[in-house]
Amino acid sequence: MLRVNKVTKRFGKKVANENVSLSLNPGEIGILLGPNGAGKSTAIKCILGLLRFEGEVTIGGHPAQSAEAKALLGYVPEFPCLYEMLTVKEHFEFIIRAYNLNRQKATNLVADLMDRFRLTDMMDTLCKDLSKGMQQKVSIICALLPQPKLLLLDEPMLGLDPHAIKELRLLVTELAEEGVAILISTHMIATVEGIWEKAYIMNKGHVISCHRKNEMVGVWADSLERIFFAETESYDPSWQMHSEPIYMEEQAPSGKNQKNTGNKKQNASKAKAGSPAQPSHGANTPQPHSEAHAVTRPKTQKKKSKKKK
Amino acid sequence: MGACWYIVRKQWKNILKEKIKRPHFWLWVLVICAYFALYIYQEISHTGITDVIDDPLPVYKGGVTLVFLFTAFLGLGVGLKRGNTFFRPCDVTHLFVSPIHADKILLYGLFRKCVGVFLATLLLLSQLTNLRFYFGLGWKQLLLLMCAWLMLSISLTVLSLGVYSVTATHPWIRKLVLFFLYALSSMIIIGIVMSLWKSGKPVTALLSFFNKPYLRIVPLGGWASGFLVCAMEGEYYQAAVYAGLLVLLPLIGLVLVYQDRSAYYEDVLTSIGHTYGNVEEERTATTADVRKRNTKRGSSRLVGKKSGEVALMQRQLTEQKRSLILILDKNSLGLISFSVIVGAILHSLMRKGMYPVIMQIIGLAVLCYAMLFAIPMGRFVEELKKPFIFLMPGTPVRKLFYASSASVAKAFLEGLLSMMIITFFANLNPLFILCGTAFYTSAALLFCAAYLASIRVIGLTNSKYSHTVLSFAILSAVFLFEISVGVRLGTRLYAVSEFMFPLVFVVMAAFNTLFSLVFFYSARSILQYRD
Repeated sequence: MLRVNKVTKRFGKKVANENVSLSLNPGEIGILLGPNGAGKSTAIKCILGLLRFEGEVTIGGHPAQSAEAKALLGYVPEFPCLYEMLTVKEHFEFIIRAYNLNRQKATNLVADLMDRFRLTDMMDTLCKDLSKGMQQKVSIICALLPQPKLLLLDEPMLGLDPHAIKELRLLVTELAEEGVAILISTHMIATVEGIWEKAYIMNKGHVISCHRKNEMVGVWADSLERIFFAETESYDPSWQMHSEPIYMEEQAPSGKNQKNTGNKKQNASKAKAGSPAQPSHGANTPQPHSEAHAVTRPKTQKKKSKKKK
Repeated sequence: MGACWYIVRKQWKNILKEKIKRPHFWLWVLVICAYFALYIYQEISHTGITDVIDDPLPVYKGGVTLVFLFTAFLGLGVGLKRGNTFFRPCDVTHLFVSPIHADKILLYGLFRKCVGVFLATLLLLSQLTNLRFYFGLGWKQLLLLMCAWLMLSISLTVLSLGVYSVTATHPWIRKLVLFFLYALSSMIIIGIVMSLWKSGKPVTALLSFFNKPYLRIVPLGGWASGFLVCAMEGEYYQAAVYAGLLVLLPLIGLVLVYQDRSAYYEDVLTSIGHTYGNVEEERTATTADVRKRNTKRGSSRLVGKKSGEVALMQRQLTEQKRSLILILDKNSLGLISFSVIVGAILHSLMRKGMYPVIMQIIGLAVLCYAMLFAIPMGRFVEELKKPFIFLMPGTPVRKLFYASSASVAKAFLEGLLSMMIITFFANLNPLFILCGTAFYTSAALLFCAAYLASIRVIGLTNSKYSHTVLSFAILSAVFLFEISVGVRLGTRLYAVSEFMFPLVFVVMAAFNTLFSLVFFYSARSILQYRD
């Protein structure tokens, strides 16, 4: 359903995304994980066709910026951006007109979704009078209304109450069962734990690894958080990104990797805490070079000691 | 397209529904209705007929050229640099990701922008009677004026978006166009100053300058004026050429936008807020990059130097210094350019035999009122919307004072430069530089205080225009009082020595400061609750 092939996005000299490749099949729930500034939102905007980029993005076989691709898309933005002077109902009416939806079906769907998100009383409220969480819920319903084949959710849980988070997780699972491909961009790992099937981890504009849940074994299988920290905290920019997805094969971190981190104490403490210092990668995976850490740390220590003097 | 019109229609309907609930909306409606009732009555009963001014056509043509050129430069400059009035973030998340065709979205943006044109046209319509009575214009000439205005404003709107979008892929082209605009406007200002300098009659000099035919080659503004003047003079062939140019240039812009449709969305994204592009850039930039850039822009070394409420001023000055030049912004540069024109006018009046004392008063009064448009009140209002000023310890009066003092510091610098220019041009007493700057700076403080008083009266949520109008009224009331005191004191000082006269401005500056403190004190309660 979604194919992103070697997408590079530059803002002037700054490279926001470099050779980002990812793919999602119908019914698959993918997550885009990464720390702040990793390039997740930029990647999503490239998929949406909102930004110019180098590379190729196709949605259901259509180029990302085509009207056909857009008809298959649903998008929940990072921050809810609604028309302040339109009511909730009018937003839905707009979606019905813009996507040329069957009015009866859409009305039934709206009623169901409004009920699930506990917004039934808010139909005639102007969006400027809604709280941020409620606006986010309306955004979600707007994205779901055209019954998209690909749903892009950019930090969808921000500002939602626990009930809505639970409902959204349930909804995502249901949609995936119906064959909708879903890509969730987030840095709140706990909110997607348990629903993801494919995880792309991004850092500094690169996709540094891809993991399938059903191929994960051992200590890696039970915690996405563990993988995330292991990969992003030891990431080196010189680490080449992978054009092909990489899957986890083994559970135990190798001794070589531990050496490469250049910080034995840190690894030891992680090991004590039951968290491996470095995930193992496939045979084709270039090993991370951690000289940067090894070099920079003594420098900062020196600076500190100078200051003390 | 139906979906886009639906948004426009429903939004207007809801805005109107919201507005009619508010009493001040009805007050405005009443004022506007009364105005138009009087207007129609004047037309029917001919009560407004006055004597036509001497030699009206050069005055009319010169005035129209001036207004057209100003509108063109302002509209194109703002459109090119920001273009953020075409689309909003909600348009991006709803329209741009929907399967609606890009051309229709563009049309929707243009239509929204044209609402502003409609309002400006309404303002012009309300002045048609005056134009008829004072300039003796016929209906044909008024119709030509309306045509020229509509062509200019719609062309400006289309061209702003067109050029912005086309040049988004090549930012250097945009810089080139902006440079061309600045160069052209600088040349016009130099031309005005030269004409004023040579002539002893400022109004005649200005009119003769704006009636010069070579101004008609200036894109958009000049062309619109050329169309009007040529059509009035019966040169229909030339008028058609100017009208053709006015229509053709925006059309070329549109064609280029359509051709480069793949780039269209990002152009608009970038144009939304300058913000969207910059936010994206900031978000993706590493902290180290941002820090490096900020350091490169120059640290004022002010932040963290002192504690207490002064930190508010220091923080704003640091922000100002990072984004502006020597804490002066583009408005300041505009004001300084304006002071060159004021200086040239005063020089011209002095040649006619006007007294230096009157020149000092005129110069200062004109600059002080012009300053009201150059004060960055937006920053100050932003400060009041952030929790920091509410949470930090300190007395409310001091907090408000320091929060506004960054604008005052800016006013001091621009006042000093402007007074130097005026003194140089009009050959005034050098003491005027210091005394005038003191008054100018205190007027800035008073305006900030008056703005606070307006917030105290009508609340922070009202539009900035309401605040500006109210603070303008408060400021004018204080000025009126000061004039009555200043005239008495000035007469006595002038009797002692003409050299001593500028000291009256220092006394009035003290009055301004005193009034400001009163306003700050009365507005202190706005820091008790965050609205």
